[in-house]
Amino acid sequence: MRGSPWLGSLLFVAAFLLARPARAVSCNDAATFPNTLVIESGDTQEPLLKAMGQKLRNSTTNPVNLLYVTTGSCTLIDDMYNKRPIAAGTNLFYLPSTTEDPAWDVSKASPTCTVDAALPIDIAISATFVSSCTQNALPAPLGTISGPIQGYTFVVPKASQQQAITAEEGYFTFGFGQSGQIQPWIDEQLLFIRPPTKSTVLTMAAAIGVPAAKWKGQPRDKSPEVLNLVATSPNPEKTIGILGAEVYDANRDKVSVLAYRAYKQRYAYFPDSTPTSFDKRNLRDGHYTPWAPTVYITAVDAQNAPSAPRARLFVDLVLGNAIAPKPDVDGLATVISKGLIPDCAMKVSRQFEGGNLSLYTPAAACSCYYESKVQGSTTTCTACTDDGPCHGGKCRRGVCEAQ
Amino acid sequence: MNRRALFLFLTLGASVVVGQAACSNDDTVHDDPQTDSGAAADTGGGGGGDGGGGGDGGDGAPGDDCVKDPQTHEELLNACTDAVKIDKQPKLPLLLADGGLPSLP
Repeated sequence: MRGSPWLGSLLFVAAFLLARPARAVSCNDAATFPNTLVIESGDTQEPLLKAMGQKLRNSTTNPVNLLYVTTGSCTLIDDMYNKRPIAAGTNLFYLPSTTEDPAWDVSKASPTCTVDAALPIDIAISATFVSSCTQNALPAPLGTISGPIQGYTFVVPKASQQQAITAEEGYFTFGFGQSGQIQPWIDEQLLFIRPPTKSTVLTMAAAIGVPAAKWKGQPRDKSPEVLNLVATSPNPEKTIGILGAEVYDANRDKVSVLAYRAYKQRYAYFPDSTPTSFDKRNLRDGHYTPWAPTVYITAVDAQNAPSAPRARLFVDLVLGNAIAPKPDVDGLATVISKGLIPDCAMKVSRQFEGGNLSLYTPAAACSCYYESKVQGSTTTCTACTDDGPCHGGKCRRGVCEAQ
Repeated sequence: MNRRALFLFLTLGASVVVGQAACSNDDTVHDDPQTDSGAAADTGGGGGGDGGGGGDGGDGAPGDDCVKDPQTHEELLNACTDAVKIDKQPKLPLLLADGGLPSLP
């Protein structure tokens, strides 16, 4: 039986149309993406970018379209030093508004647009000190602004019996591999690490004293790959990996964090005061040392404030700075919800990767606010509208702070 | 058993206990258990295993081995805290005789 030639042609055309890839959304289309802010960032910061980006996309007071791409911290620093824009053909992530895609939330992958004409980077976010990647001075008008603190962790599968790792064990495990003879981490195929341009390994490298380029193990480009390999290892006892603390926090059902004992330290400590809390108290007070500030690199004015209005808005939100008129996005709460630690909640500081800790008093402390906002918090702060009920402390964000 | 024999027995027994303690390896810690609030019951022993036990969070009482008013880096690391802490004395076969770390390969 012969079919109609018209029907055949129709089917051919239909098949062609269906098989043809949908035309990519252009990141350069100002009608689709007004008020853009282009960010290149270390991948540990993606949860923050997604959460903040969606809030800004939905904002009525400060609407911004955040377009972002993730890469290694040293790579993005190099891009900024060399004024390298996002090249044509690159896919950037964007955040849909609730109206545009009611089903989208931050647990889902961000949709992408394609760069048709090179886009300058407004902000680059390194998840570690710039000095870990280069000693050269940043070219004007770029400057660096210290952002929230990023913690890093050694993690093991849930079935592992290991509870702690010392700096010395880290030195032999990741610096010597199998020949380091550190039980049970003697199988280099089961040491899941990151490439040497990534902040995770750079910070851990400084903590244990093994340069990132000399680490033994299996480097993986993205944190989720390390997470998956550790979580599903067929030999859990011999398996260990490294992750950003916020990645661990979001996946505590899949992997366990190891307490860490630094050189010259008596005991090993978790980032948090207990294995089940989220308060990052040990990281904040100096008992847990693998951390680094995120660094925002952007064009700045004479006061080292971002000179571009949308970059300034974003940085002010992340830092919890006062913004007038008051925005409908709570930046500090968003930072905390994504496992990052605001600088104002820190009690120690350091000047370079793995550098010694020193006591730190932030200009406007937010420790109580921070502890009241973290997941599972039992902290209650004294509510206030002025300093009156704070007994010598300060009223900020509606709660009393000690300083 | 007469008193002399009992004395010799107790003396010998005490010597054995003291000798064992003196010869135990570095994995066994608790140099001052009374001050070890919240410390893990380290079981490092000679097994070469983890040696780390879970801490219990302690009672917050600062011990003699913690620093009450930390100022320097090392003092901050060892400041008194009621956070969970884990006592781990791992076996490090490649550690140099002077306690230093060998150069990386």
